Amino acid sequence: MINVALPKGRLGNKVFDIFAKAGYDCQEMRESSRQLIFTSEKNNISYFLVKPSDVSIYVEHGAADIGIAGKDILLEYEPDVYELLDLNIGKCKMCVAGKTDFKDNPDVTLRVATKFVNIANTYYKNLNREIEIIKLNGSIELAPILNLSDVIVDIVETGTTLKENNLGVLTEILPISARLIANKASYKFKTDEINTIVERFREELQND
Amino acid sequence: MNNNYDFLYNDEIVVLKLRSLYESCGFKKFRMGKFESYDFYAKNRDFLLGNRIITFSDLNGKLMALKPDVTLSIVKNADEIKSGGREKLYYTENVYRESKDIREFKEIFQVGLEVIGEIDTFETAEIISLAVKSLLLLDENAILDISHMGYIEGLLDCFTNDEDLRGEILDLISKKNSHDLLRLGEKHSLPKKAVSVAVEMMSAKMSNDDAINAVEEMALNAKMQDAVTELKSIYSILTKMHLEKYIRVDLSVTGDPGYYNGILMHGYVHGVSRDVLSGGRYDMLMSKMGKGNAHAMGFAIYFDALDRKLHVKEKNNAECYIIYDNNSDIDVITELTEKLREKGVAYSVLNCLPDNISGVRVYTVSGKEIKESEI
Repeated sequence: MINVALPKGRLGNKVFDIFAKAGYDCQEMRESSRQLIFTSEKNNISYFLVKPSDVSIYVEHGAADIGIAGKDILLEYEPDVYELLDLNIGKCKMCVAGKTDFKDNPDVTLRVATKFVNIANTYYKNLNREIEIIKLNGSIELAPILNLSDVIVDIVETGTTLKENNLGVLTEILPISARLIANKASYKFKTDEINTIVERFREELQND
Repeated sequence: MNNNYDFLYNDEIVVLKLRSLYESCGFKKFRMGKFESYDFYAKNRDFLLGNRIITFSDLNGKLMALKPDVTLSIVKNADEIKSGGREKLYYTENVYRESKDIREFKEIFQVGLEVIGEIDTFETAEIISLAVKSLLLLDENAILDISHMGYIEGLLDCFTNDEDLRGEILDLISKKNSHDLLRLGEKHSLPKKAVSVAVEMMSAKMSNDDAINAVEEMALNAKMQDAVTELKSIYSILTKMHLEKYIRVDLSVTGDPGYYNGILMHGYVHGVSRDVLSGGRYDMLMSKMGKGNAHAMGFAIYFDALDRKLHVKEKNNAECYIIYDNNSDIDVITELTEKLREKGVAYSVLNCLPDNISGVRVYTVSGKEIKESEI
């Protein structure tokens, strides 16, 4: 039995459809809405839906053998897992954004509001830029508008929210997409099953 | 109790079995104190896992540290080794390290062994075989990944001399992340041949022979070829020891190139979500510690990872309970305990029965009278 941690929401639904097409359908998943774990004995697979940022935790600790997590989460939390496949879906960009007329003054410590402390720190460390991190958990776009920060480091999908608030992308840090990850110990004991899933997934993604 | 060792906990039993295994192969127990001079660790920080160390001042004002590592102390204290000779040591010790999860210090119990001196192919195979046998004492469903840092270093030499980029490539290989390695290859115009070797290394092979043949065919320089030659000889000995089914040759398993320089090992047992054993060849530490050209290899088993696996529900250590109160006759209690002790029956004298016990005999002493019952 392979345990799969899927991210709740649109991405999770899309990924489950690919799993189903790849031969890992689960009728329970289509029927019940109150259940927490959905199992298909026939296809030897079990799914559970968790907060997207928690997927890598479930996988790293072995509660799930595999999972689907965004590259942003993997870079932020650096879980000790295998990253076996880039699904090339759920695409977006990790960006530095701010007021469209923002001009960086290198003599002043840059105030950066973000959910992604590790990613922001690493990015600015590589630039040798002194920063002050303001950790927020949501509505990051508000920070530069209310002068809480100079810029933000966040995920940008379409940029619409930024535009509507007179903000814009200042720099693209890196592209983000969904990745199939595996627990290292599970991969040792279930190599064939996990590799088969990866291969079928790869085929399905190519067919799409 | 009947003079058996039923009262031992699983982790204690495992430690005794590991000790017995190592002693039977000629390893001597290495004992060390809990503290070392902080200076010692500060000088050798590169060889430590993690940067944080618990420090305190001793009564003379000298800065001391609670040991974060055992290997460093073993290497430091190793006796002068005759040319061609070797010292075989094992340990059962606590170390104090920063926990990644809770950002606090953690006491971690480790059992491990180290061989210092001349390490040839057979000795390497024997250390690997002991790693496998150690894992099998934890669970019959065990896997030991083996890799070779020489091969990985050789491959990195084909990529670039840039240390940061080498680190990035190494990280991607260890995560079996071929998609990002291909992107990195394009971005930095890395040699295509080296990229394809790395990608191939990450894919799981049907068998160890397939894996060894594949890496042999893909060797791009003498360093990689030498590593494969050594790996092949070692694997052939392990096959003769009938251990091949517990071993997985996987050259995408990497380690710190500043520490390891040859064989690398990571051990897994069923039911534990991370590696429980790790180790390998670390000659660089020997030269850093002024031990000349001596070799060193060893491994450690981390019991913090095994906590849940080895934990069993608390059992009734006592086979019977003697319950007394203020009116009970002390002589009667003393006589009863003497009798039980002579018979080898484990007992516990209490003034009330503990909760949640069953399947035990109970003697209730009231005045000079003993009432016997079973619950």
